[in-house]
Amino acid sequence: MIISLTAYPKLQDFFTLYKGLIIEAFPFVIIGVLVSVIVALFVDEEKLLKIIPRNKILSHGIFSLLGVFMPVCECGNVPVVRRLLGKKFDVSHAVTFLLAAPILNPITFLSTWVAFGFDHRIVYIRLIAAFIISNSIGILISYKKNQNDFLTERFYQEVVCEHHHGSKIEQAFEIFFKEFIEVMSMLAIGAFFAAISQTFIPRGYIESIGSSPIMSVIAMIIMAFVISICANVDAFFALSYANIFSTGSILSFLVFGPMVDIKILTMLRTTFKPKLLFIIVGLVTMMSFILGLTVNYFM
Amino acid sequence: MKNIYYGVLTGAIAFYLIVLYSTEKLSYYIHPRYNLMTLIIAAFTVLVVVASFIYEARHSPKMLGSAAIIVLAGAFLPRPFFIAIFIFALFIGSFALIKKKAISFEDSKKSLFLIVTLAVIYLFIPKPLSSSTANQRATDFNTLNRADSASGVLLTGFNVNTKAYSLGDWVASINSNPDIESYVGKEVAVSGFVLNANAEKEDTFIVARFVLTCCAVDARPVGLYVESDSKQIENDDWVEVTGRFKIIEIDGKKTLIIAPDELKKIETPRNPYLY
Repeated sequence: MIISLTAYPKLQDFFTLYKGLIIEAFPFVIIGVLVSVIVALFVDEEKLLKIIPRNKILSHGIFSLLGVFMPVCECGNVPVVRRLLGKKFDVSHAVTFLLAAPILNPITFLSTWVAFGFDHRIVYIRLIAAFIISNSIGILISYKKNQNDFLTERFYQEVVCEHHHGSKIEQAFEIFFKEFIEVMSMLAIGAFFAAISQTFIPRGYIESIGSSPIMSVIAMIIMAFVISICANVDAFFALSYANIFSTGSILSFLVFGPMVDIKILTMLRTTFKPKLLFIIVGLVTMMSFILGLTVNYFM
Repeated sequence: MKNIYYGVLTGAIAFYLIVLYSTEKLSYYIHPRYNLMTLIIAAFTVLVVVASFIYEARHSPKMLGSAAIIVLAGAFLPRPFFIAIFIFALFIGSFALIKKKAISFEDSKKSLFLIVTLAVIYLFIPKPLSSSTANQRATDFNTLNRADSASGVLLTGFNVNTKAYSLGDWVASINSNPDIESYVGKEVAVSGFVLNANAEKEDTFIVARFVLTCCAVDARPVGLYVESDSKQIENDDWVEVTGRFKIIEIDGKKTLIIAPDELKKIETPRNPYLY
C-alpha cells in the first residue's frame, strides 16, 4: 500500500512470492478450519467406529480412509488419536489413522490437484503411496502381542477427555480462530523459507541438489521433517520447488511431511513411547525414500 | 479477549484479500480463475470475524462502541498512519495478553509471525514478479520461447495475419512448429516486461512474461528477443512491441528476433501473466 520496492527487485520478488504462497493457500486453510469446527462439534466418533469390521486388513484400510470425515491437520488429528486410544482402540489402528488422515481427505486432494494442475499423476501417486504406507505400517504394528506396551505412562494418567466450555457457538468461534492461527503461522514460516530459497539462494547451488535423483529425495525428506506445514496446503509449498527438484523428491516431501515432522513428534511424545516413534519414523522415512527413488527412476 | 485478538488477526488477513481483489491486483499472485473463490472465502471469513466480535461484545456496548471508533478511524486517517498504528497495537496487544495469561508464550509466538505477515502484506505495494526472478528461473534464454506452456489456443491465421498473436500464442506456436525459418517476416504485436536489456547481446532485450499454472510460486519465464538500441528501455518496464521477425545469431545459434517498427512503454497490465 505504501512502500514501493521497485529499486530492490530481488526483495520485491521475495515479498511477492511470500504473499503469493499465503494468498493461494488461504482458501484451503479456511476450508480446513471449517471442517475442523464441524467435526469437533458434530461428529460422534463412537457411532462411526461401531461399524469397523474385525478383519485385520479391512479394518486398517477403513481407518486409513476415516480422514475423509476427520480434521485435516496434524494438530486436529492428534487429539482424535488420543480419544481413539482412550476408547481402547488398537495402537495399530490409531497409527494408520494418524499417518493416513492428513493426506487421504478431500481437502488435501483438492489443494494438491490445484497446485499440480500440470501433472495430475502427482496427486494420484501421493494418495496411493499414503494409503499403502499407512496401512502397511499399521498392519506391521498389529502383529505385536501387547500393543499397549507402546503407550506412555503419562497417557494412562492423563484424563483423556476434552472439556469444552460454553455454548456450541462459543466453542465454534474458539476452535475456528485457534486452528486458523495455528495453521496460518506455520504456513507463514514455510512461506518465508520457500521465498528465501527461491530468491536469495544462488540457483546453481539448489539446482545441483534438485536434479540429482538421490540427493534431491534426501533433501526434500529433510525439508519435510523440518518444515511443519499442514497437509491441506503443503502442496503449494512443494509447488515452488517443482521446477528445480525431481518429481520423486516432491512426492517424497508430499508423503513424508504430513506423516512425520518436528511438530507431530512433539505432540506424540506424550502418547507414544520412543520405541514406537522410532519405528514409525524409520519406516516412513524408508518408504518415502524408496517412493522418491522409484518415481525418479521411472518418470 | 483472546478470541477478539485472534479475530482481528484473522480478519485483517482476510480483508487484505478483499482489498487485492477490488484493486485488481489479486491476479499478481494467483491464477485469475481462483479470484472469485478467493474473494468469497475471504468475505466469508470477515463475516465470521465480525460475527464473533458481535457475539463477544453482545453484553458490553462499550466494546462495540470502541470497535466502531476504530473502524471510523480507519476510514478517515491517512492509510499508512492507520496501518502502522494498527500493527503496533497488535504487537502491544500480544504482550498484554501474555501478561494477563490469556494466551501462552507459544501462542503469542504464532501471533507474532502473523503480525509480521500482516505488516509485510499491507505495507508493500503489490507488484508482479520481476526480471530478477526471470533470471533466477530461466536456465537458457534461447529456450525462453520453447517452454512447455500449453496455451490451448487454436492458432489460426498463421499464414494470413499473425498480428493478434499474444506472447503466449507465439510460444505455443514455436513449441509445435520449431522451424524458425517459417517465421521470418511474420507480423508481431506483443506486450511484456523488459528482460536483460543489452545484457546478452548488444542492442537486444527480451520481451517476456511469466507462465503460471496455479500461482506465482510456480511462474516460469517465456519471451522473445527484440532488437533495439533504445537507451530509455530499462529492465521491468512494460512495453508493447510491433514489428516483424528476422533471424540473427546469438551465442552461435540461429535465433528469432523481432525487428520493431514501434516500441512503446505501457502500464503494468491487469493480467501480467500467461496461463
